[in-house]
Order: sequence, then C-alpha cells, then structure tokens
Amino acid sequence: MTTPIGPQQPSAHSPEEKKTEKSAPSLPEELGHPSAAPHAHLPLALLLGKERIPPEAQKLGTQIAAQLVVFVLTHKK
Amino acid sequence: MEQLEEWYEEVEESLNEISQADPLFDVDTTKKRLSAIFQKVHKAIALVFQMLPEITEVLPHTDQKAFTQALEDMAGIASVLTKNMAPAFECIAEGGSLQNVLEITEQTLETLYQVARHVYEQQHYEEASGLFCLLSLLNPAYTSFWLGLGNAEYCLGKYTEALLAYSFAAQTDNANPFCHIYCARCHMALNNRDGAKIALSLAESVADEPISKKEISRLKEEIR
Repeated sequence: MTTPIGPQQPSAHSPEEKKTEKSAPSLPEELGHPSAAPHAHLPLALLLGKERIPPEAQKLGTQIAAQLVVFVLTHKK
Repeated sequence: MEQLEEWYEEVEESLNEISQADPLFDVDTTKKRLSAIFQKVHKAIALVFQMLPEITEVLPHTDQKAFTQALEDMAGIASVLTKNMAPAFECIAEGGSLQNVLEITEQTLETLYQVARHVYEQQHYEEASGLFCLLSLLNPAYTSFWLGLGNAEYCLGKYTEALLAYSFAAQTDNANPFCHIYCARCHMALNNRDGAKIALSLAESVADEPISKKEISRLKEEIR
C-alpha cells in the first residue's frame, strides 16, 4: 500500500504563485506493484472524463486511448 | 495543429460509435478534452527531452543514454504499430496494456515514473500531469500513476480533474486510505461537504496507520 504525504491545500494556483510554495506535495518514492483490480476501462474513463462508462463503449474507447499514446509517441519531437 | 487534425480523423469514427452506445456522450466536448490531453502530453514529453541532463544529474540511477534510447524505441515501436494498428488495438481492447503492446519493460516504466515524479517535484505541474496521464494510459494498473495525476491536477487547482484521477486510484487500490482522503480534499475544495464526508468514511474504513488516521481526523474537524 502506498502511503504518500498528499497534496496540501495549495495556497495559490497561478504559475507565478505556485512557484512560491514552500513544500511540494510528495509522491511514493517507489512505483509499487500493479493492481489486480479490474482496470481496463480506466484509460477510456480518463479520456472521456467520466468515472463510469457504458460497457458497449469500452472496447472502442480503449482503442482511442491506444491511438492517443501511439500518436503522441510517434510525433513526440 | 495539423498532426492533431490527422489523429482526429482516425478517432472520429470511433467517437461516433461511442455516441451511439451512450446517448449522454458528447462528441464535441470529448474532442476538446482529447485535444487538451494530447497537447498536455506532447508538451510534457518535449520538456522531458529538455530536462534530460538535469534528470540524469538529479536521478543518478537514470542512465541518460539508456533513457533516451527507451523513448526512441517506444516511438519506433509506436510508429510500426501506426502502420498496423488493428491487432495491437484488438489486444488492448481485450484487456492488454499498452505497456505490453509497446514492449516497455518494468524497469523502463519505473524510470519514466521517477522522471515524472521529478518533473512534478520541480513544480512543473502541467507537464507532470501530462506525463502521469501518459503513464496511466500505458498501464492503468499502477495506483501511483493515478495519484501523481491527481496531485498534479490538484496543485493546478483543477479539483474536478483531480477528483477523477483519485477516484481511479481508489479503483485500483480501494484499501489505500489516501486515495479516499485525497478525494475528500477535492470535494472540500469544490464545496461538496456530503461528498467529502462519504470519502472520509471510506478512508476511515480502511485506514490502519497513524498518519492516515490523523489526517482523517483533521479533515473531519475541518468540515464539521
């Protein structure tokens, strides 16, 4: 289980102000292990901005997620 | 952006099919969202290349040559996949991860995580968000990727986006109280007291360490 010290309430959100934050919220030092919980739907959910998605759309949406990554990596420069 | 338009043409048909499956699905809104994500990830990768010397210095275990080679390899494999997408996408749609399809090793993924974490700690939150977004798409099974994405969005003041990422973190590790604690913080920032209470209740049910219990108590006091 990861036990990071999470984000504190940011005091400001503008690019200028965020630089003045004294302590950066921390993340786990180690990557940890992959979850065994079902996760195949998450890339689509992220791209669509929805926590839940219709099962019918999952296959197509997962393909879109893959296309995005492949496209970005192919055109990274 | 011409490249983005090309990509849109490729995914538009799929978006329309999703729209038919879900009447609440809005193609235009989704295209704008995809555009924003694409540009964020693209910008993040560009920054990583700029920061390579610094990254190598700060992260001594990161071999710059090996890391650059890994990125180049990933791009090369992606290029091949672009020419023959169907089998790879079929594999992903059946539940395989892009990490496997692109043949990215665990070591490379760990290196990419350390780089994203470094970018985040340097307060390049927009770019860190892009990198954690990419990592989450490569393999959504890692809770740390979702936490990283959530933290970056939170620091940008994008609480709705952060909440979404933290909820995905919770879906990958429901027994991690911090996934729920961070959800509660987002609800509080969005003035949703009921949502915060529910998230804290979930956190409480799995919290087994003093640090998480203390934070839950503090937040409960705050919303009382």
